[in-house]
Amino acid sequence: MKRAAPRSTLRGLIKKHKPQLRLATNVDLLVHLNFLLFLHRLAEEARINAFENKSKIIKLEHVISAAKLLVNSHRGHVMLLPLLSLPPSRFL
Amino acid sequence: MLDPEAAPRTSASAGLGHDSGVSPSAAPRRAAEERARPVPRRKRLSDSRRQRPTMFPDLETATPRLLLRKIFQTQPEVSPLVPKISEPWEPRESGSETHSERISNTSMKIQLPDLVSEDTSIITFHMSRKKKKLSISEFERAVDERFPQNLAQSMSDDKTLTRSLQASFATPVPPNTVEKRGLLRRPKNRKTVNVDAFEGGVEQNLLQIKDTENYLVDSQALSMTGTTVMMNDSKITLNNTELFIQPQLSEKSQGRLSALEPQLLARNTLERGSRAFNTAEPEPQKERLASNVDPEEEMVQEDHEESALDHADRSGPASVGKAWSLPRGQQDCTQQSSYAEQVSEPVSGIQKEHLTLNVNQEEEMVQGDHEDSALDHTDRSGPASVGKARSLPRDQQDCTQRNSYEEEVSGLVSCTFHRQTLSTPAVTTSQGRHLGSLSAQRSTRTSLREFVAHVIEKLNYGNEEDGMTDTEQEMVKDGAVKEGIAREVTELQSNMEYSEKLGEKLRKQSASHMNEKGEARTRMTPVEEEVMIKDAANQDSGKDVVEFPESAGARRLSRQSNAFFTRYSEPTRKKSIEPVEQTVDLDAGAVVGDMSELEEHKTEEEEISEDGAESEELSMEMPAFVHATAYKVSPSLSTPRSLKTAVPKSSPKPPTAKQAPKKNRTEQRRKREPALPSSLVKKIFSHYVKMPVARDAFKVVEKCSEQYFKQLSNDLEVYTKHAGRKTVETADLELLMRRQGLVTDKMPLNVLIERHLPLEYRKLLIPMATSGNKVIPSK
Repeated sequence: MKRAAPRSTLRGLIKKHKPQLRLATNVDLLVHLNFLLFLHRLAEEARINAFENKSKIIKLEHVISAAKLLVNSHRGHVMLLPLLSLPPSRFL
Repeated sequence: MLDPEAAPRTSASAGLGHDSGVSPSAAPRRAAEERARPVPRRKRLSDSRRQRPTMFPDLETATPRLLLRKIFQTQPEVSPLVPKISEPWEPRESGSETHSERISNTSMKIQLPDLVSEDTSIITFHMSRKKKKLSISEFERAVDERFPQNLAQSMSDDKTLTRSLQASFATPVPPNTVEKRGLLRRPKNRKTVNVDAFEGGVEQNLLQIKDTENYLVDSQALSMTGTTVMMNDSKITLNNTELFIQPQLSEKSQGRLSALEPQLLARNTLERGSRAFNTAEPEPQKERLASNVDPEEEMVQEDHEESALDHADRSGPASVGKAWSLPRGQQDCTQQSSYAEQVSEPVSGIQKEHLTLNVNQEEEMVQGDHEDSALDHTDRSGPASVGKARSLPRDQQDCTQRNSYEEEVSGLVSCTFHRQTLSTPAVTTSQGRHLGSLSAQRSTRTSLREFVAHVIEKLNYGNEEDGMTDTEQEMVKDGAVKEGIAREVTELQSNMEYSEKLGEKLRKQSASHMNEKGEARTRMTPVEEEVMIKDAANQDSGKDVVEFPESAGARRLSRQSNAFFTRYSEPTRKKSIEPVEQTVDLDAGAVVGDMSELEEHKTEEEEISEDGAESEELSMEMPAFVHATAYKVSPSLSTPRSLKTAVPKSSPKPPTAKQAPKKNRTEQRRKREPALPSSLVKKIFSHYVKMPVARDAFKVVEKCSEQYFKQLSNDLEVYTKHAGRKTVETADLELLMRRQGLVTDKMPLNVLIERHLPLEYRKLLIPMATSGNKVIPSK
């Protein structure tokens, strides 16, 4: 059921954003892993939101609010504070 | 009386002989129950339960005292909290849900330390159940809940617990009931809609959303396309529910346009974009036809179209509300989808009159050339509302041939209007063949076309038969407008044959484009034809244009259709769904905009056209032609002005402009390429979320992922710079994950790798030591 990680696509994506950046051999796999975890978190958040609204379907607003939370916490280097301020349960 | 009710219940729950009537005695009883429950809960409950049933008969006639006695016998334990419990119990008897809640709360509190999940889940769970069963006091209900809950914990513990916890205790019942029942109920409804696999239904929904959005030209159209594209990937097999699958005259898009209008198109476009319709052209048309009738069905069909793709039943939007056409389209779609070629979706949408005629024509055309499956075409032709079976089969045949072509043309040309006058069956056949090759290309376009067709259909424009051939025929049939178009189409067809070979892919793309642009269906048909012709000639793109469109408009339309195709061709070429989505969006975006888009696409297609610029041009011309015809057909089209504007542009362009924009387009497309396939994102997200997700929500997810990648690349760059390197290493990634809180001291990276990545990748990332001092991967 799990699909293969689109390695070349990932590399292309990063290249698109940062053409000067090089990638080591298996870095894109880790990028894929990171992406999976990101989606995982997003999905969790969205699911919680939908659940709170007593809705059986994930709706747009659920995802959006989840994304807002996640984007702030996702920064790797710039904003560390918001990351810390967020409840840890959100991530793990 | 409550006693009998209460008795069984109490016994069941925990021998709580609560009597609403006897509050004082009930309270202590309940207290006793409470007490007894928390501790021995599981064990005793089962025991008590067993005992209780036997006791039931006694309980029924037992007095509160007896009940109490039994309780004490069975559950002698006493908890310190009893006194507290008793208090809430009493008020509960009054019968207010709040009471029960309180009790449940208290019970929960008490038991939470012991059995957190049980209490919460049970109470809430049973609350709902109780209601159904009997009308008992709140308290009794609660008690019962608690008791059976303990027994029936297992399954929904987590769920109910979370739910109950999350849901306010004020109304424990509703959430559970809603959740449970809703879960049970909803799927049923959906399934009833889609006979086929669930996917079909989902696709339908998606398509519906997309279609509506596209049709409505919402800003969300873009997003929709994304989702629709995703849908395409998801491969929904739509089943045509029509009684009989008539050959799809026009591409699916056509049929859909007529029927479902935007919805179908959206879907179709997506489907098409993702796949190359080979023979599905006819189907799409049919679908379109049917779309009018059954929007949903068509959508399903459209999904089919995806699979069938080529069967783009352009049968065209056909007569506007030909219900039967829709079912046909659907049927066709299903057939074809499975066939994966030309699921001639019963373009029921196509007006009966036209359909029949068109079908006939199409059939003729088909005979000449069958690309993939004559069946498919037949399906497409089906839509003929009139119920001309033969016509449909023809369409299908034609469709197969013209799938690629049809898509482009069908949508627009949809003969719905003018089917009656079959211009030249013979020509159509030849063209059909041509179309067949094109159909593949068109498949992608069919969606566009279908959409357009649908749109047109709605407007009661002539149905655009799938593909060019179909459209041609249809157009002719339809009547005044069509006639002219048909002629053009025939011409196109002849050219198409030639160009087919050259620009197969293009066609498909254009078809898809065209389908998307249901609105431009009518327009497209002429354009498509033109394009087709162009393709055929390949070298004389210009002349094709000249040949067909007797009317300037047709030419313009062809341009537009070309643009359509180009747009489509882009996505098709690009494998990535996103571009298709984009195109779809474009199509959906505005009827008016179609033409302009077409033009753009034309150029794009030209760029992309593997065969060459020429082929693209041809394909583009075809849609233009189709458009032209469409334009002619539907003078009342709201988008005439757009057509007009597009036309002038297109006219001067085709020969020269195509090549220039082509290159740009290709480049642009290439740039756009590196985007994660939406299907993958969808899959992963759905897997993680474990719940049905709305289509527009997927778009948000996609956007989020784009944003995520941006941030990711930024972070990685910073990290590598900080390390004084120019290459991103795994250490940088690990640092990133640590920063994000994914990797902690408790959770090392390797564990995450093992958890989420498949084995092959794990082997690559984590060195494994095997016997013989071997380390994999070897360093």
